[in-house]
Amino acid sequence: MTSAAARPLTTARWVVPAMLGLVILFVALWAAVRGADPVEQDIEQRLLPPSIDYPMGTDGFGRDVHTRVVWGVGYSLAIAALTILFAGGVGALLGSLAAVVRGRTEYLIIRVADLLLSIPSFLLALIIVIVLGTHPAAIASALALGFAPRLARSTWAAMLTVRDEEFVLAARAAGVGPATILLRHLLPALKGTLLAQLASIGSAAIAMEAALSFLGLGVPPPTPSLGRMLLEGSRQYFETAPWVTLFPGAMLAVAGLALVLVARALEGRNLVN
Amino acid sequence: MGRAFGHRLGAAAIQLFFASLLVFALIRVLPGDLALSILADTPHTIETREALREELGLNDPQVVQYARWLWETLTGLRGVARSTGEPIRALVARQLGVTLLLALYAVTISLAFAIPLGIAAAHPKRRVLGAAVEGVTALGLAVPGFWVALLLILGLLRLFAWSPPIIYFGPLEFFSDHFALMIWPAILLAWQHAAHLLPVVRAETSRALANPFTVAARARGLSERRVLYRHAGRLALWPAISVSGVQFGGAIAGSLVLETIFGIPGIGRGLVNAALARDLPLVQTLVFVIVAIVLGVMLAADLLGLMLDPRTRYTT
Repeated sequence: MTSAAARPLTTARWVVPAMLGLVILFVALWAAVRGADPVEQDIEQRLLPPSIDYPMGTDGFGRDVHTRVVWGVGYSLAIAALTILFAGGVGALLGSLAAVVRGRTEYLIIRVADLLLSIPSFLLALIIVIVLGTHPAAIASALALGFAPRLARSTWAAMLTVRDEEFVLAARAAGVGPATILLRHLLPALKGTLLAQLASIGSAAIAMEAALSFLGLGVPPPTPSLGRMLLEGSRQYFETAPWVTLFPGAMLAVAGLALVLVARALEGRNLVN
Repeated sequence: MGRAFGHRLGAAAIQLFFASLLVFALIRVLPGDLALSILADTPHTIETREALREELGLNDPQVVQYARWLWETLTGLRGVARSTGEPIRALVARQLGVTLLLALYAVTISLAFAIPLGIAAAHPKRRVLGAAVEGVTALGLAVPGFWVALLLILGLLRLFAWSPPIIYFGPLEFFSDHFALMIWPAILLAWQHAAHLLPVVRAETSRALANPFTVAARARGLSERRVLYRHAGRLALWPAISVSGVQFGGAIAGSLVLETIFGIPGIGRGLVNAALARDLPLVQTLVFVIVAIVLGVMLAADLLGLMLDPRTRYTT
């Protein structure tokens, strides 16, 4: 229950992420109004500094950086959403399964999660991308493999604290089955924590995807990806045309920060309960 | 105490064994045909592929391949890197030290700032410091380190016409150049590391402040400062060390990108180059080496915890 005194504080936590979201929306709408093409090359217009015609300048192929940044953010968010879906589905499912079923299954799931956690998640993603290729679904599952065990473990740990609470015992005594207990009683009790975790997985996924692309191991060109734009910009035109590097990075930071703060706000709501 | 020591050591060894299985499975079994996977981007004939299969011993059963790789790796990293022709042992010896130094600098900077700041920010009256700590944490988690690194290099270049040295020197060979190259990536890694450390130190200190012993300490007339740093903050030390150990892997992973940007010849850049050259056997060995180091550091943090905090000796 949110107490009256705590409410303004938790609402205040949504102000900054909402503003960052509006910034992204504004930049995207502006691009939609301008209607430029993210992959169309115009070699006579290459490396132009920001101007009214090209708000974020043009890159080495004469492509419009603004439009590419917007498509890149879209791509980043799509990867983040897929990763959240994969990691959230698998991690939360196995974590709650471990907490509800108990016994050998619980032991096995937690041990396997621990094993996966011993490899830094970025390394895990790197290996899988090399092996599986750079299809967006492959990248998302590579990232998800790093996050799912963490989520499974924390879901399990959070459920340990509530699975023996009286309201759960009461439900069991009333003859409610384990699946219903999980869906109706346990998951709603942990909703805030889980959503916060999913949001922070999203922000980490955006940063990792960008890092993979920056290393040249992400989605191949000409798909506009922010990490790849940073790679091309910083390798070739870093000093002469810094806008090619600055704008994609700034959008990356804005999107990542928005998700981190969303996670923070969700967590805050949970602490008040 | 001795038993707890042995327990953790055994657990770490088992974890390393399973990690080696996992790395092997991901690289050798998952792609279906390793030779095809290595040659994916290059035009080749069936004969070259067969020759490569023979060279890598891919015609043997998987179990034999795994056992051979593990044996060769554990008995001194034998074998030669396909992509560079350098013996793997020499390669790792050259690169690992550099990365470990970088990680050591980063973790030291992180601990030196995060522990006092986290403890200070736990005090309920320090609102401004608390907000500042939250800001630093959120930015450290959200903003990709490599973009900040690029901004930094651009800024130093534009404002001071200064760029980091191109050639790496060891700390004993040529310290000023070593320092000038390593300090920036170390600070960036420390920031990311501290972003995980600060909230833990702060939360643990807050929790400790709620204990009756702080009331008792104040009642005895101790200053607020002493209660905060000497009594409450002390309880945050062990969790801080534990988190540092767990986040060490994150620091190594972060150095993959930063080493590439700053041109530091560490194992992170070595791994990226091996990946780009599709030298999968080398990737496999390097990842295993990194995992072994990460597990070793986590174990060391654990053992340090055993010595610092007697309570942890009785949990499994």
